[in-house]
Amino acid sequence: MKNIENIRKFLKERLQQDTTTLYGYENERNQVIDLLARAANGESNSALLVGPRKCGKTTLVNSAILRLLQRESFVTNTSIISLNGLVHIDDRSALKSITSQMNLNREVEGKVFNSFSENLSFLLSCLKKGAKNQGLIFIIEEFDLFCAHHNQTLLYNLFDVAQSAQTPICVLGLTQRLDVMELLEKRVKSRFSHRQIFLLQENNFNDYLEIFKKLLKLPKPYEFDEWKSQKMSLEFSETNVTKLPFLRRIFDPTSFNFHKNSITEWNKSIKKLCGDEKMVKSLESFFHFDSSIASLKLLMFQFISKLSICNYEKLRSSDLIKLIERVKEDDKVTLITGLSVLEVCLLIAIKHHCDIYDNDPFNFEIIFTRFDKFSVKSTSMQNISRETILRCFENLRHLELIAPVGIEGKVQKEYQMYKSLIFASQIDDAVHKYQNLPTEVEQWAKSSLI
Amino acid sequence: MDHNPNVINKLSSHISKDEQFPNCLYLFGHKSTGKSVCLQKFLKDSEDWLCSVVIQAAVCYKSQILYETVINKFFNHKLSRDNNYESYAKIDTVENFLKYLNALDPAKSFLIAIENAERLRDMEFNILPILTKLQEFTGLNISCVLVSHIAFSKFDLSPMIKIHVPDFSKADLIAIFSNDYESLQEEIIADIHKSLFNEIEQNQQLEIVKSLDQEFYKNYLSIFLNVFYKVTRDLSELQLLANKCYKSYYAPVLRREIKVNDVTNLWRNITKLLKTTLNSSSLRIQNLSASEFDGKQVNEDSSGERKKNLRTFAQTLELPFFAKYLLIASFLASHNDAKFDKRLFMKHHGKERKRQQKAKVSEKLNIQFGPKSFTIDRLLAIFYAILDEKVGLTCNLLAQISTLVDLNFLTFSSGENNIMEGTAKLQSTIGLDFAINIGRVVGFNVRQYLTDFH
Ligand SMILES: Nc1ncnc2c1ncn2[C@@H]1O[C@H](COP(=O)(O)OP(=O)(O)OP(=O)(O)O)[C@@H](O)[C@H]1O
Ligand SMILES: [Mg+2]
Repeated sequence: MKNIENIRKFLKERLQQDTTTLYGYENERNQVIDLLARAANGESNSALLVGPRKCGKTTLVNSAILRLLQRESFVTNTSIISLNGLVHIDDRSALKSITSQMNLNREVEGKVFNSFSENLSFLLSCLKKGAKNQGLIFIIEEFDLFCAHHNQTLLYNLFDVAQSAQTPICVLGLTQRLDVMELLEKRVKSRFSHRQIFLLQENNFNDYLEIFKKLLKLPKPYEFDEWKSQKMSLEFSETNVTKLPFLRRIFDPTSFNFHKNSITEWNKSIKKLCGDEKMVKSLESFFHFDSSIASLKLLMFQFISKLSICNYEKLRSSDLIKLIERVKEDDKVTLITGLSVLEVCLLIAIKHHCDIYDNDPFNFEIIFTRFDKFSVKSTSMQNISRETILRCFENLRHLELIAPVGIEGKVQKEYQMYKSLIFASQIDDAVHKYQNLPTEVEQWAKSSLI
Repeated sequence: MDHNPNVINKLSSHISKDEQFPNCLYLFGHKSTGKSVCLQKFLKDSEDWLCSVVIQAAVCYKSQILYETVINKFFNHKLSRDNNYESYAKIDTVENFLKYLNALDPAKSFLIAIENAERLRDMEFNILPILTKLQEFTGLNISCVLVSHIAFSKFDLSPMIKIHVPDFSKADLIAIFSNDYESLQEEIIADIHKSLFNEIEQNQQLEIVKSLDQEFYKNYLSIFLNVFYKVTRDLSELQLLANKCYKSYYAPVLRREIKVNDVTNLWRNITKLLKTTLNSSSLRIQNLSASEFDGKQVNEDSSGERKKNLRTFAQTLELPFFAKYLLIASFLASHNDAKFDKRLFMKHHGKERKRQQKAKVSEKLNIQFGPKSFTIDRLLAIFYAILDEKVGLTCNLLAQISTLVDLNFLTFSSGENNIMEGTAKLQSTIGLDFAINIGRVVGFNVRQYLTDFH
């Protein structure tokens, strides 16, 4: 394989598959490591990891577990069970999954349980019998979704066991709902440790830029060696710990072979790239637009995809600047600039209506009347049949730029009331960007007076 | 149809052989911009290293269909007589779906494309979030392409890579439509052979057809687009119309009335037709075939053309005299407040209070808010009031009301079966312009009786 292809493959793979390298959140990660490690010592506990979407909750937990898996005492003394609110949509399916993750399918076969808690304590007792002092760790992704399950039975039972310390279990919930405590029922809440770990850290641009560089550079040879030793310690643990989803596809840079020179050369080119002030400015503007690492990774994936195999062997700052401009674009504006002039005219009529009547709902007749006043005085938009205009109006609805209010189908479609789902500024923006819009339309967009 | 090489390049630079895929892609653009064509082409080109499946979200009325279609395809399981048209496995939960995905060969790469992905929003809440995180759930090199025509923000999903499929410019459209040139030529020749002209005339026409070259067709397209492009940019719609109207463009050339290279007259001849087509009816339900226009004298090009069409329709509408009055009465009943009936229709209704001229009135009219329903009693009351003659035949009038319902000028809003009891409620479906024109036919000024215009 050609060198550059290899680099591209490596960079993409690291972006997508490295789910265990965490940037920042040192404290929070240590808290989680501490919490989980205690489970190995037979302590029970519970905690919630709370942070907005894609802020790195899963990555943090993965990275903590990866660290712990290198300790032999942890590996031999704990089992990890992972549940996900998107997958386990009720407590029955969660319990089934717990059973099979604990390899107890055979033990429960043919057994009848009177209650959920009876079933759960049977599972736990099996565990006791088996190993020495097995600590059980529950990692619960999308924790808030379990709050919607009937009576919150699973949560109640898990917290109850954790609190009464019958069997050592640790419950770690991950959620994007900052108000998650309000979702817990009283009896569940009272059994919860009330330990919440928040991931709300703001990045600053310097750290952000460092991450950007790091994700573009190739690791130095000694870093490859580090990975190698880590990999070996994992192979040893694989036999003991339940197969966690993220362990199935752990990023393995050791499968890549780079020549020492090509690493230096590539890293030099990245250094040069990041010295381009215009590019850094542009990246900073993107940072202010969206400072999350998840979005940075998306941007970089697209950037690396431009590393074209036959044409150019380096990443170009101009490509990144263009890309950033594109990513920042507003989809709705983009879609409007692809509409016909007539459809744009209807949006302008809607804009004026919303402006004059303080966002009152409107129907086709109202918009048609307004458009018609413009159209008879115009030179380019005359003589279009009402049906055609109605069709264009319905297309706006189809595009979800406007949405019906009230019950639909009660009145003829011309009279169905709608509300606008776009801002006047978005229409103005689109009018500005629209290619070859007749001047009279442009003027009408600026002022409702005709 | 043409596909956009840019879009295909973008797809293939993100989903490429031997490389890790992004979790998810959002492919969006207006209808008939070629989203699916690009996708199909890309999938075809990469079929020897990529296992892919295209799902029509519109077909998945339950999630089981989605899951099973994907799994069947990925396990290369074809429904046939031999397996009794049964799926690879019964999969009705996400959990099961993931279980089967996890059983796939991790050395391969997979792609799930969802057409009309916006429909998935109406299915179980967990389907979309899971499709965007399949790598996290399965550990496979798998990606999902969501294809849709709406803005991404309409999905409640965290950011993903977006690929926009742009709309066609006029030049793009001309280039694409020109591909039809050869087949259109053949059609013209076939038409001439089928025509009733004698052989000499046919041969002469065939000779002329040879002179209708690509340029001639492109010229036509450019004139055509000048009229229609501002109304719609939908390629399939424009193509249909362009092909339909072409006949009227070349017909006078075949008849030797206009020379092939007489651009001005060709333009003049076709522009009128195009404009009439534009305002005669809705574009899609265009049922006036071009041949109907062909050779006919097209109406004067005046600004009131739309209204004129309506007027002719109103004038030629064959309805009994009373039915026309009923039609007007129903319109008034639908668009006036009942409380004003008295004042408008009673000959001696006492002094009218001078109302304050409401500032809003000129902008917001009753008629803009649609017809309200009315009882038959009220309809008849208005009918008798606006008709100067005395008629007593209520029974006959009721029959005419049902005729108007059959003709769709009136609809029942409730109590369809209780006409005689008087609990039935009706609505008028005609528009103001039409009502005014009917009024004109019978000599009745509709505007005078609308509260909107007082
Ligand atoms: N602090 C971070 N360090 C490293 N990577 C991060 C960090 N924050 C986010 N990411 C990246 O962002 C993406 C999303 O991260 P992750 O899945 O951990 O977030 P999450 O909070 O679990 O998301 P969700 O709300 O979907 O569960 C991943 O690609 C991850 O690598
Ligand atoms: Mg997560």
